Parts: sequence; C-alpha cells; structure tokens
Amino acid sequence: MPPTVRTTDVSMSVAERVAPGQAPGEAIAQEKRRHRRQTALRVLCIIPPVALLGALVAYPLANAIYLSFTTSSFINPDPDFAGLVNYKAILTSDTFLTVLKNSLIWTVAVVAAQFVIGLASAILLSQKFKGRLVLRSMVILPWIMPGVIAGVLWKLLYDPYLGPVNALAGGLGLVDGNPAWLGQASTALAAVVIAAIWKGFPLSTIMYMAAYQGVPNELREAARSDGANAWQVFRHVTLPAMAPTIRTTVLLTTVWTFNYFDLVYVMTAGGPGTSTEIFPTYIYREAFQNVRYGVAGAYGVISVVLLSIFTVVYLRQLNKSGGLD
Amino acid sequence: MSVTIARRKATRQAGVYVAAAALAVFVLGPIFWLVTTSLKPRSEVFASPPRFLPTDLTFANYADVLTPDTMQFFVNSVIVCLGTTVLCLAFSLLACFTLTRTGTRGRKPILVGVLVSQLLPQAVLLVPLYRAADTLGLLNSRFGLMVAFMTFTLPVAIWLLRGFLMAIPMELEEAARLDGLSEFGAYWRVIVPLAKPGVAAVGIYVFFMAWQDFMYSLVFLTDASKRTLPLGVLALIGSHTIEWGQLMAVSALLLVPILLVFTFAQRYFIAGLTAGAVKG
Amino acid sequence: MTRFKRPALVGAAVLAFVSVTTGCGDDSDSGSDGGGSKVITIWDQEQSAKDIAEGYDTVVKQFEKDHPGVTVKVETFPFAQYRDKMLVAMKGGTGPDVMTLDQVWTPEFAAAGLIQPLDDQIGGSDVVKEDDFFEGAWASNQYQDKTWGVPLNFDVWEQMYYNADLFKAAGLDPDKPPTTWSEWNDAAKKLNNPPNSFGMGLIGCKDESVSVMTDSLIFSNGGEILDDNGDVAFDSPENVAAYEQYQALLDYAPNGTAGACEQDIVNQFTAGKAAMILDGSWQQDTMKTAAKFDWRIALPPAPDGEEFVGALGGWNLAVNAKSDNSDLAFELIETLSQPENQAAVNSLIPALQSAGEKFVNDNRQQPEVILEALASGRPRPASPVYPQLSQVQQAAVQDIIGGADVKSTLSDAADQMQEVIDTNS
Repeated sequence: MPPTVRTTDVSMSVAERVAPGQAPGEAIAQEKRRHRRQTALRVLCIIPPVALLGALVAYPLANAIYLSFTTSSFINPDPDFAGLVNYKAILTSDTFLTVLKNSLIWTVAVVAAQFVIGLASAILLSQKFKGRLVLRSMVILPWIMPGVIAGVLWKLLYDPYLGPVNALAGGLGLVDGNPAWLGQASTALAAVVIAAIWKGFPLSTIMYMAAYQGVPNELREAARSDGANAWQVFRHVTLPAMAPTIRTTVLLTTVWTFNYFDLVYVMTAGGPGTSTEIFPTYIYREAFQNVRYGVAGAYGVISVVLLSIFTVVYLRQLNKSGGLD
Repeated sequence: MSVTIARRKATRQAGVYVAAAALAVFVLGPIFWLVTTSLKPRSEVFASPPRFLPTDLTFANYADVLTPDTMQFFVNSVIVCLGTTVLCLAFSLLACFTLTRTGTRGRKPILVGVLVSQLLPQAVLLVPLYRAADTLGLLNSRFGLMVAFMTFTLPVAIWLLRGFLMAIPMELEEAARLDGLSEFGAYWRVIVPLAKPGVAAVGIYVFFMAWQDFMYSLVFLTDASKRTLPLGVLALIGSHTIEWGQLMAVSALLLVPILLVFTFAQRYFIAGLTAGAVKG
Repeated sequence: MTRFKRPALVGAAVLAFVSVTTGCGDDSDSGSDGGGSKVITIWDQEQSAKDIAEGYDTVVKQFEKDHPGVTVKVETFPFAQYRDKMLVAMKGGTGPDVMTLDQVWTPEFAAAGLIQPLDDQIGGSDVVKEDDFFEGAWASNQYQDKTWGVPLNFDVWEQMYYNADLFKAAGLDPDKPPTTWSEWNDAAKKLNNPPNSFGMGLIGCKDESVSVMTDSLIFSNGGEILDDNGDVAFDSPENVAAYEQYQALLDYAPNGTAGACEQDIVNQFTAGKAAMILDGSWQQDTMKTAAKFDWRIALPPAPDGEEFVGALGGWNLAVNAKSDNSDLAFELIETLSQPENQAAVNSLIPALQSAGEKFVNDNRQQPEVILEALASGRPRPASPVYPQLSQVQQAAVQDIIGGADVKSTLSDAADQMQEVIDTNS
C-alpha cells in the first residue's frame, strides 16, 4: 500500500481565520503566537522522557566511553589514560573475531528463525480450528519465563545421558550415542540458538498475528476474485500489508537478541572454549569476573557502534521504502 | 466440483491440525519437562534412562516453595511491574505526542536516539547507573527500580506506541481540531482513546519485559522484603547444590498467574495490535 | 484551563499510585539514622538450609543484647549473583559494614582498597586468635603482610566419591579404592562400560570449580601455579604430568566434560552413570538423599609415591573500608567467631578449629579423611588478579579436553598468566 503522507498541521489559511472586524496584521500576530504555543507544548512534552532516558543512559554511555580509554580495573582505582590501547588490543585479538563471528551467527540465526516460525504460527493461529484459543494462550509461555529459568531448563533437556532430548532423539533413531550438545564446541552454538528461538518466538507470533488479522478481508477477496491463488494473495496482498509490523519487529528482535545475556550465560557461560562467546557474555566476564572496566567499556562501545550502524542502515532502508514517515 | 473442494478443504484442515500439533509440541515440550520435574523427588530428577513421568509423584516441592517469602516476592514483582508499566506508558504517551506531529523538526534524530539508548549492554550500564541511582536516592526502593527499568522499556514503548498512534486515520484528528480542540486536546481526548487497545498491548509488553529481570533487582534492591520473584527463584541455586524440584515448582507457579492474565487480556492484546498494524 | 485539567489529573493519579504502592523513600545500606541508634549491615550468600537463617537470628539477638542501641541487618543474596552484587555496590560507593568474601577474592578486594586491614583489632582482641583457626584458613587472609579478614568457614576440594555397587560389578574390591594414579587409571578402565556407566566423572566447564579441582592434581604432584616469589610456575613438568593424568582420565569420562560443572558430575554419580567423582565433603548431604546405592568416600588417589594434597577453599569475614562503624563491625566478627555461633551460621566446615572438628565429626562420614585432607591441603594463589589467572587456567583446561598437547597449552597459559601479572603490578 502506498504510504500516505500524514500531517498534523491542520492549518487553515490566515484569511480563513481572520475574525470579523479583525485587522489582518493582528491575525498574523495571533497566528504566530498560536504557533509558538504549539511548539512550546510539543517541546514540553518531549523533554521529560528524553531527559529521563538521557539521565539514565547518557551518563553510563559517557562513562563507558571514558573508561574505554583508560586502564581502569577493580584493583586499579585511579585509572591512567591509555588512549587507544584497549581498542588496539581488542581489534587485533583472535578472540574478538570469534566473539564477532559468534554474535553474528547467533543474532542472524535467532532472528531469522523467530521470523519464520513467528509468521508461520501467526498464520496458523489465525485459522479456525478446535483448541485454537487454548493454543493461542499457551504460545506465550516460553516468552514469559525468566531467561535464567529457561536456561536451567534447557540445560536439563540437553543433558547427554539424563535428559529427554537424547532419549527421544536416540529412541527415534535420529541420533547415535549420547552427544553432549552443550559440551561440544561443534554443536554448542546451535544448541543455544535453538533454545533462544524457543524462548523468544512468541513475541513475533503475537505481533504477526495481529498484523495478519488486520489485513482487510476486502483486499483479499478482491485479489481472489481477480483469479489469484492462495500463495499469490499472501505474497502480493497480505505480506505487503504486514510489512510495517514485520519491519519493526525484526528491528527490535535483532537489537534485543544481540544483547541477550541470560540464556547463553546460564547454559554455557560462553564455552566450550569460546564457541558460544558472544558480546554480552564476553563483556559480562570482563566487567564482573576480571573486573577490567577499561576493556569492558571498550567492548561495550564497539558493541554499541556495531548495533548503531545496523540500526541506521536499517532505518535508512525503511525510509527509502517509505516505512518510517 | 463440490466434492473436490470438500476434499481440498478436508486436506487443508488436516494440515492445519498437524501444524497445530507440531507447534504445541514445540512450545509445550519443555514446559512438560518442567512440570514433571517439579513433581519428582530428587532421586528421580536425574535418572538413567530419563523418566518422562514421575513414578514417585510428590507435591513436596510445591509445599516447600509456597512460603510467605515467595508470596512476598510475587507481590513485589507485581507491584514493580505494574508501576513500571504505568510510568512507562505515561512517559511514552507524552513523548509520542511530540513524535506524532509531522511538523516537529528533529523527530527522526530523537527516534533514532531513543533506539540507540537501548543498545548499551547491561554489564557496562550497571555500575554507572548504580552510582546515578545512589545520587538520586533511588537505591533500595521499588520506585527506584521502576525508574531503572525505564532504561530498557521506555525506548521500545515509544517506538511501538508511536506505530499504533500513527495508524489512527488523520481524518479523525482533523475533525477533532475543527471541533475546536487544541492540538494536545485532540491527541489526548480523541487519538489516544482510539488507540486504547494499542496502549494496552504496549503495556503488556512492558510488563513482561520487567517481569523477567533479575539483574537490576539484584543490584538496586538490598532488603530481602523488597525483592522480586526471579531473585527468589535464583536463591534455589546454591554454591554447591541446586534444589531442582523446588526450582521447577516455583517456576511453574510463576507461569500460571501470568498465563491466566494473558488469556484474559488476549482479547484486547490481539485486537490492540491489529489496530496498530493496519497502517505502519 | 480545562485542556490541562485531565492530563494533570492523570499525572497526579500516576504519581499517587506509584508512591502509594512503593512506600516512602529508600533505606540506606549502612550507617546510623537520625534517632541515635546505629545500624550494622552484614552481607552473606543465601544458604538453602533453613537453620542457617535461624543461626544468624540467634547471633543477631545476642549481639544486639550486648550492644544496646545497635541494630544488625543480615542480608543474603543468591550465590551466583553474590559477587556481582558486591562489586556493583562497593564500586558504587555503598556496601555493607561486614561481608563474607571468598578466600580467593580477599587479596583482590584488599588491593582495590575496599576492605580494611584488621591487624590492630585482632591484636587487641580476646576472641579472635590466629592459633584457634585452621592454618590454611588464616593464611588466606594474608596479603602484603597484613591481615584482611577473619575466616568464617573452610573446606577442601576433593574427596573421592565412588559407587561400591559398580565396583563390585566390575570385579573391584570396594573396600580398597585406588590410592595411586596408576591404580586410578586401572580402576577407571575396568569401570568404564559405555554407555551404561563410565569410570570417572570429571569437571571441565568454564568455572572456578575446574581450576580448584585440577589444582588438587597439580598440588599432589608437587606443582604450583605461582611460586613463592609470585612468578608463574604453571608450565612446570609436575603440572604437565598432572594435566596429562587429567587427559588420561578423560578416556573414561562420559561425553560433554567440556560443559560439565559440579552439578553435572554429581547428577552423573547419583544416577549411577559415573563410578567415581571428585567433589567436596559438602556434597554428602545430597548423596544421602539422591544416591540410592552403596556410595562411599575415600581420600583421592595421589601420584605414585606421593601424598594427596587437596585445594583449599572457604569464606572470610571482612570489614568495609568505608564503614562508619568499624569497631562495631569487628565486634560483630568477634561474635561470629565464637564456637557456638560458627557452628550455627555455617553449612560448610567452621574455620575455628574446635568448631570445625566438632562439625565434621557430627555431620560427615569418615571425618578423619576430611580432617586429614584439611591439614595437608594447599590454598590457591593469593593474588589480587587471581580471577584472571583462573580464567587463563580454565581456558587451558578446555583446550586440553579438546585434545590439545598439554605441554604447549600450559606453556601458552603460563605466558598469558605472566602477562596478567605484569600488567597489574
């Protein structure tokens, strides 16, 4: 659907606003005053939220940036300015490449799968079948479970000898022996990705369910009467109508997944080796185990920069297709 | 003709049921394990081969966790999450007034800035945020915790809410203005009420985001009497022992009321998201 | 003006709701309030045993009776988050008057200037005397010739738990568990019957527990991590042999050692999957409830011709450097150091020798084995950067589990450890 320009400047021409007996000059002045009040109110309304966010986030962000240029650590309370030492050390280390690679795989895999499963389940739950309402309620369960509990639960499930995953997979002949999904560098990342998909997909489901049901049926009918089959209706009517919701959900899911800490940390603590080390787990380790604020800050800044680049590029894409308005 | 259509419909229905079953298994499989573990004694939680159903069914774990402390944690969680939701909605409704006015300059930078503020990793955020909270006297209070929660709820709330508000057709706002309402009046009295389902949807999202947190609660609260439920659950993970049965039991208990609330609120939630999704 | 009325009303309602539901104001963590009564706070980990909370209540009541006008607040936090809470609170400028610190954190907090040296107070105390405590426990509070804490509890990693039923089934005599490393490997081989059961359950996950556990192999073989001068000795031949022994045992361990933490090997053992594991004496309570077979304990095997040396652990009581009430804080520590109180607040072995020996004799099987291990045990390095050193060690173990060559892995690790020490001195 072509985006319509929405404007809230419901302004009549000055001539239309001139009251009987009022000089035009006075009307213009009145218009100017009204305009100023309007602007003042708009500014007044945006100040509290922006100030709150600024106070809560700007200081920590500035603090992190400052510390990233120092050698600050727990046992070194008076940090020395060290310039780009931390950044140089990080960007030339092998660990950084591993963390970056893992984070990218982690984010892309989880977001993509959550999108597909979310969309599929949304469409499914919009069909009529017995037990639909029950299933719709149940689908929220993984999302509302606190991440640490989900992590502990999935660790139980994945236990090579004592957990149900191998018992079922072995029983069905899908798997040989008792592979330690979380204990092998080759499978650990995939295993935590699956857990994360399970944990987070309900949000996408709910968003897409609403968007799907929001597509006016008349549009679908019109397309069908033009001879389109179900897939064509979906591809050319439903999907474009859902596009704004999809775009926003994917953006939010990406940002949220990239920084998601609880699940991975509980399940593997970034191991085995560095196979599940992603930005949040690595930063947590530097900030709370090694307690090197400089290094943690530098990693944090790099993480913010990466996400910001993604966000800006993504939004610019959105702008091109007219999504933000 | 009609026979083919009927057969096609039947196959389609069968396919729907198969897919629904697959979804149910995927979602509920782990939950099933959680519930059965909560009903097992310790000796059965880790058995070889794993027991899918408890042979020695016991409710002892539930009895152990249904203490006044747990109730207190639950109440605290509800208070904090409700308060956070109210606070967050208030601030985001204010922000969205300005951000839905197309004439506002700097709208896009503010929106992008709002989103960027969400990007800082928690581990790096905590110590300076703690210091700021200390200076403002917000430590060890549930109100302070609500304010701290704004860091990860407010940006998303602003974004989502704006989407819903922008979906209200402008003709309605124009009509309100022509009726003599001011700009803010039109916003507050006409647009926002029409977006009530969307507001509810965002509220529910914020509530659940706050519900999950343990790190902020740990860091900003000290008194045990003020703690939220996730912290109460984590207490069952000791230095050398984990109370598996109790952990699963309290987790199951945690899920039930939320499930009930969500089932009830689903009507509004889905309808709300629908309203917002008509137009980006 | 009417157009502002409704938003204002709503705003007021919001504020009213929020303030009513949260009660008024905030509490400070420590210090005195205006009424003239003093408040001392003490932080500890949560203990799931209910009688520990009662134990603290008794101590608090006794202290408050002896010190009228003083209130004691006991705050406990979940174990896994305890360090995080402490770091944020203390770095943020607040924190309790008294806190329990892991032995290996004590030099770190001392170097950070967040706890105070207690030499003067200990010198003037009638209650806290070095000789009354286990030697290893007292030593863990020494850093740069000062005493930074008073030990609260104390224990040694590793007893060997073994499954007598599986021993019998494999043709081994359960009354004669292996005592040397060669016997150990033989027994593990005989007990190895995959996938039904395995010879040995080993800890390998990225956790402090893998450092402590493999330290007992190192120490028993005469190796160390840092030598007496504080230089890195991690790649010594003794250590290489120790980790080669670890690598040898891996052949008889179930899948997933690289992700196996203490909990996992305990579960393997109680499920009858692993015939032998190394774990501390604290696990006996779990074994009693969860292991439905004939389980026994023994001193772990030592290298042929050597004696077993375990790695020591435990918790100390320290005083916040910023405390307004250091004297009262120390007096609280004195109260906690009395034998009855040590027994009441500890689910691990009290660090006071008299209380500790009584605890072990009353609550543990084969107390003589435990006490022997306590006496011969060695502590982990007392270094302000110990957490970072341990990280390097953990990464090295992960590589070794993956099949890497032990000698070169330890050599690289030693270089990294030296770098950590150099950049922090």
